[in-house]
Amino acid sequence: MTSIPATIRIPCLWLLILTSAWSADDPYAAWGHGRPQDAIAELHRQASTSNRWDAWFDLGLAACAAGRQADGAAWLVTAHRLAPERPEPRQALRATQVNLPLGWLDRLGPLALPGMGWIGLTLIALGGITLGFACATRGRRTMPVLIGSALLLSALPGRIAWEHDHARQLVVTVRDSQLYDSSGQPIAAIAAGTVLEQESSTAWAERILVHDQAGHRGHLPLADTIAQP
Amino acid sequence: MVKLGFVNSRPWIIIAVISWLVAGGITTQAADVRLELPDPLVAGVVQRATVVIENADVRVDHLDLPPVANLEWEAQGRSNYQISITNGKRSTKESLPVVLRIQQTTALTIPAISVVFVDGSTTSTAAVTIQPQAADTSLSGEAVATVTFEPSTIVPGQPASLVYRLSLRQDRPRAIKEPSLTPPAGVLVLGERSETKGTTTDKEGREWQVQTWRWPVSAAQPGTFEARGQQEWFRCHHDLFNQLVPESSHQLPIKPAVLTVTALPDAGRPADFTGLIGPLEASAAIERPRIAAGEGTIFTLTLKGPQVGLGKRPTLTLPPGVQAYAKDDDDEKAGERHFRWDLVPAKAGEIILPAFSFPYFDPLSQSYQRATSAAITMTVIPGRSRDLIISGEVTPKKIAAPTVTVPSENLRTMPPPIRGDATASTPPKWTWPILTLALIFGALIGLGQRLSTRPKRGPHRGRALATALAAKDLDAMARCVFSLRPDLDDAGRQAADALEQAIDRARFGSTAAGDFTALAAPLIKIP
Repeated sequence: MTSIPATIRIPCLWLLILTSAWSADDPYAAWGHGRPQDAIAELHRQASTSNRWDAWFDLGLAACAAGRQADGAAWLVTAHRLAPERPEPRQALRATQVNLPLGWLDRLGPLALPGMGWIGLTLIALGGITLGFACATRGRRTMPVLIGSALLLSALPGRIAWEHDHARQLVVTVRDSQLYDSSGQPIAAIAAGTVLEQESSTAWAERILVHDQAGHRGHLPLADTIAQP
Repeated sequence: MVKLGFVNSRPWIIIAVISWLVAGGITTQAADVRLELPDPLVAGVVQRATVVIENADVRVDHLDLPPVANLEWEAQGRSNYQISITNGKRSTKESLPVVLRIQQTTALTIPAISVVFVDGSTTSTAAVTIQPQAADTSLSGEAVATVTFEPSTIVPGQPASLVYRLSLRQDRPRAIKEPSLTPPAGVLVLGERSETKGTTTDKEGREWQVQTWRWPVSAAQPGTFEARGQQEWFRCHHDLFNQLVPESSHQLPIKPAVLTVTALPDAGRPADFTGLIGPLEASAAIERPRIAAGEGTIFTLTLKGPQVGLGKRPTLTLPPGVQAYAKDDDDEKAGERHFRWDLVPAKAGEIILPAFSFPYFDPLSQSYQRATSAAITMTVIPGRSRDLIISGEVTPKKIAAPTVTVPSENLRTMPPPIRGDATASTPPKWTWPILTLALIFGALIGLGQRLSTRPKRGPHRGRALATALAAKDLDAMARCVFSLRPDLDDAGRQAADALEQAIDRARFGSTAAGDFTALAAPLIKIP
């Protein structure tokens, strides 16, 4: 029996260890093997670290696949807030029977498309440059003013709507809860998975001021809106 | 030798088989023979029949007509022989006239007729059984119109038929434009008029065309109703395009008829009589005779007869524990009407659905009868029941918010994970800084363009003048004053004039060159 030389054996051993470590940290592997609950912790870590919308989205999907519908809805709403122009979070929420309140992007429809993403920022930059040039240049200014105005008018509505929807503070109750008035008396019951809009980022007595789509307005316990992995 | 002889005889065998096939193909073309009889066959009238032979190889020599009781017939006249070729196929048709007279009105069997060809071969027609009819003795003249009620006596509500029959002799073209008769006033017309056409023969064997119109009628009140009138008809001829052209108009009295409507008898009239006229049938059926408790089944009660629309939905009396829900009645179709109930039994057991009885008046017996359906037994087996139990805390009601209209295909589809492949979203709150920076950048570009296109200025003219004064260069001083003139005001212009005169005096020697500094002082500061 011939033994493997140490110059080959040691790198192979390290490669095996690294591969095992990488596969152990891949949350999608566990999810792909039918254990989405085992993927939630790592996905949550990735989402919290990167704060990318797609990371929160995958985390929400994994939670829904693990049967944690309310937690999944909360994380999907986070993904939606980070990228309100993307249809995937809204589609996933709809599949989990959660309806989001209408945003400005929904109301604008196709008019918002030119202002979306990097293309929108590019159009706004080009429009600003053209208008600035028109203000400072000598000679004819009509054409630069028209071009700059057209670029800004096409891109700004969608971009403003995107920023508005991005700034909306949507929260989801991760368990059955209640709304309270300022004196602490319960106002209305709120089921788990209900989407509410936060009116102020300031918490008062560990409660936040929210209103739901049925018109109820009150203070909701902050702890009922935080999904834990 | 035997073997050799067999080999030599093979061509002859093949030729013989081909010859046999060809000959067989010819002889197997069997002739089609039939006897064509007039319709209708009228007893006592001389009529013409025809024996038709198709695709015979040879012509017919004669017919052998067997003797038949109560039938006189003989072949008469010459045969008609036709040859036609269609798509390269030759066919023949030979017709031989036969004159016959039947002496009975009962069924008569005409035996096979032997057809003898000129080559001596024979064939025969098939035997047929005919039903002669008596000649219509009422037909005389050129046109006859009669009207009848069938039946002529009814009770209120009983359906009847108004039959108008018009006969026109067809030895020449005769026609009408439209029937003149209409149902008499007071008679209820229950439906659309129907029309039929046919032919008949009078006692002299002449053909008549018969047109018959029928109206379904009834009457609501007792009384008599007479149908009468006159019918206009025309003698016609055919024009070049075979269209009928009237030659003369004639009026024909219609033989009238009377409909007698008698009142319904009071004797024996049931209390629940609703005007139904017989014959009437009632039947009951159930969709599923064996069901589980809590399930439903359909019970149907059917009425068949004239005017079943007059029937009223009966009251369904059921034992306790069975709920009945009446369904909408079906429309009356083809003399049928259905009453239906949804039955839902609540407990197991045998449930007897009672018989139903509908009274009606029978015109045949002139009495009131009842049409009764049979009772039906329905078996109800114990069904599965489940009590509703509520325990634990009542969860808060989820608030529905139908706010987003989405395509239907995306309603229940969970999208797949993205796994980091998505494009990074743009940072928030970049809009206004980028717009501000862009404006500034554009303004800078514009300023650069403005500066780059600014017209260039010449040297300082005042200082140049001062330099020329210091150097006492008279020509240079004159050029500087000239260049300053476009920008001078009145005072400057006077100073420039004085300086130029002094320069000229000095240049041309009239006076010595003096001190020009005082004269040039107002001009030196001008750029």
